[in-house]
Amino acid sequence: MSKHTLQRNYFIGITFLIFILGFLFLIWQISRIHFSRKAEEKFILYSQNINISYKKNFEKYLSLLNSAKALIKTSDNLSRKNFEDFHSQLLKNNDPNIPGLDCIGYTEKITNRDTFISKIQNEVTIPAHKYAYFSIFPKSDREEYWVMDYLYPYDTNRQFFGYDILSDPEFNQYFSRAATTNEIVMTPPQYLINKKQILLINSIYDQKKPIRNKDERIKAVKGFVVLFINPDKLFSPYSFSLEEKIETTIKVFLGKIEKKEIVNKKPLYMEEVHTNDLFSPTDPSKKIDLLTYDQYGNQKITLLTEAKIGTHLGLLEGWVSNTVFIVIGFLIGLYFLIMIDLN
Amino acid sequence: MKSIFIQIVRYFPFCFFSFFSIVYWLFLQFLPSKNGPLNHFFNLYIAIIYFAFSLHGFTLLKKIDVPLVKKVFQFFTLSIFVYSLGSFVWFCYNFFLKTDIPFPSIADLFFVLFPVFIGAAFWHIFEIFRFTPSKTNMKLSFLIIILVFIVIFFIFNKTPFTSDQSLLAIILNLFYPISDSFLITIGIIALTTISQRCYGLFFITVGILSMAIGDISFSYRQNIGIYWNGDISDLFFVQSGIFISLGLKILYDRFKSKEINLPDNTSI
Repeated sequence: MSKHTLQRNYFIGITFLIFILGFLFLIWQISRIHFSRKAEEKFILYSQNINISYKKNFEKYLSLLNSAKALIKTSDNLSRKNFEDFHSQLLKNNDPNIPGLDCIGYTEKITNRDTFISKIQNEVTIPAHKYAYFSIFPKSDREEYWVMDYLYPYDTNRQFFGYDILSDPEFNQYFSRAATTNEIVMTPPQYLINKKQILLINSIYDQKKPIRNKDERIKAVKGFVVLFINPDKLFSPYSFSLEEKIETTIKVFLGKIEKKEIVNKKPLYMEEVHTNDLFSPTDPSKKIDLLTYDQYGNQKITLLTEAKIGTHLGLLEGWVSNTVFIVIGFLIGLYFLIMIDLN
Repeated sequence: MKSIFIQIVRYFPFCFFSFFSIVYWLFLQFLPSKNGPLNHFFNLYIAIIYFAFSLHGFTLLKKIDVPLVKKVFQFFTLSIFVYSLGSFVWFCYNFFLKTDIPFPSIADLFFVLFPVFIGAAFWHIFEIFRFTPSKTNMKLSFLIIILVFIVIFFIFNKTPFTSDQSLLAIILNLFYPISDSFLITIGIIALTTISQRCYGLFFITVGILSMAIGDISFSYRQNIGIYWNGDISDLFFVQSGIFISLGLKILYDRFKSKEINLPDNTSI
């Protein structure tokens, strides 16, 4: 064979090898992008489902808040028993598993402290004299008190009974905001006595008084319907039913937060969702995330969902394509080496 | 001492532009905006550097009479020239059409010609030196190709799955590093087989290696959407042109001073 032919064969040989490997690379890359798009779609759908679940939960809270408000507005002399029966029946008829709902309460504006205390202490109850030691706490001397009065369920929330919200350094501002704005106010999670709570507050006004401006509204406020929500359960994807859970990190932030600001912000709630999927290898370098915004009551909420790419996102096919790629590449290389030795 | 001084003066423009490119690139790293006019001008700077060196190549061409050697210089010069056109088109997209990353675009028509011309130049280098590939050459070529492919595989495999690219972009993103793997292979084979010491070929191979690193880095960063004008890949691109031109100049000087013997024993 002439030198020129050998040189030509060498060039053709390596060009052919590179072309075949390049073609294999192309197929591999196209298949990866195809699977990645499928995975992205699945992730976006999952994130949207979480958001929808939050919205549905919030609608349930709103419905409860409105029912409680209607009950209090329409009953002049509402007994504690009626309050409990109404809500027990309401929850039975609707969804008894409203995630994170700890308590439905009514906080009343009290101007005459002693009369109010004595009225409650003398309530006819079973067992008798159940509230004999009732008092407004913490003790303070003011013209007006916003006292937690009706509570359902009472037994698990009795520590709040008689609590004066105006003396609470953290929560009173949110009650005041609810009174002055006539909007549903959602508080950030904070300790109320001994329990970390998110409160949803809606004010009730004296219907005979005008509520055209802030001053009139604060004067006309009669009380507040309050939902006590456990913050760990409110946003937890474990507490609502999704058809399928995937390994994600969920971060909820108060307010509307841009992506670049996220790093410096402490989330209101964070949960790493783990599944029992044993075969879900993930690659930490491959991450996708989605940022969505929503408004609950007066509160803007930012939801960030992040996922590490792995087989849980339907990427089993991706791993298959990697393996096929490596095996075929290896076989082509082997063939090339054998051909060199044969010639 | 005198000869070293002469060498420094002779190759000073290459050293100067190599150093200046690094300074300009470093300056861009500290700018808060990554898509300002200075970033766009870096592409114009690449185009000018390549264009100036291609002009230099064309002037060398005029002085060469041996047809085979002329072809080598022709193809290398053409490769540099088409790259300068590609970079200029890229700059036009940046500056006039306000497109930050025109990929894929008309500029790629020129960029894809770059490895084709380099390959043709190497073909003629092998012709000059009457290269006879041995089994060892073949196995070494195979090893280099596989190594480059393994590097590309791992880098691409790390690419996040969020890319939303056209088929042409996928093809071009693979074409550049893969064609570079071909060039690196024949560059190294030429270096190892040509018995005469040839710094010119060495610098040309370094230039190709620089282009390969730039291409792999560009493909990766463009894939994940973090490429910007004046990126690390652009530094490798400009250095590649400088090294290839330096290699050409050295090759020319060695041919002329008969330090490299042509097979038919003719000088340029």
